Amino acid sequence: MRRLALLIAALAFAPAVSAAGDAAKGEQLHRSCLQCHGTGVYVAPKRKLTSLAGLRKATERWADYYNPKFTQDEIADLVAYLNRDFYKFP
Amino acid sequence: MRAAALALSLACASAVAQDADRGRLLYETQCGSCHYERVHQRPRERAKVKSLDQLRDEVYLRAGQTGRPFTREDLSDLVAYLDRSYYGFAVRPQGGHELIYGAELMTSQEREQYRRELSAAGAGGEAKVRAQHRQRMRARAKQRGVQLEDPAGTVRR
Repeated sequence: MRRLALLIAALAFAPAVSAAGDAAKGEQLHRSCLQCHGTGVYVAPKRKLTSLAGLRKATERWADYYNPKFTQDEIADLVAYLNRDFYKFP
Repeated sequence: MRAAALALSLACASAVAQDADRGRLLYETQCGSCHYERVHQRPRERAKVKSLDQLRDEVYLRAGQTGRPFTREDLSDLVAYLDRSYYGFAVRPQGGHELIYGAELMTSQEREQYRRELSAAGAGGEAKVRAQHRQRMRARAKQRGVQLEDPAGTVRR
């Protein structure tokens, strides 16, 4: 019982990144990225990302390069957009 | 001078709109005979130019005063160069998030510090904070033997 309560608590406070983002919002947010590059970088033959986890990590790294920083929710939205339209990782 | 400008115009005619590097070349060859570049470094409260539209107007006006032919593309490149280097009106993109110049060369703490400096400087002082920051990052890039892409300030790969 106690274990179940812990599990429920853990789920309730899981970070936002585990929630599925909103790709439509992500597309809007992504306009900030288009200042510097097009979407070609996402589909380049020599691209380095090979998994959804990798994509999330890379997005988080870039999110901290901005002012203001992208929030966890916004990162989830960006990842959802990038994965839906470009990376298509399962 | 005119021939140089023309050659430059022709050579770059197919370039995309708003090429700040090309604007820089034009600026350095066409603008320096009347004023030093430091006219763009006035503190913002004393600056005559307070918006991208005003910057555009001013560039068009001054270009006319030279009596030399500038194409529309020349003028928009000049505006892009000046905005990138000094004014920073266009750096806040539509998405509302601005890429920090040289962010990859900074620690997470330094970026946080820079965000605080920008917000403390307010609208009046932001340009100065940005300009100083860009200078610091360019020096740091040189020290580390990397090159920064302008205007974004990402590391060239």
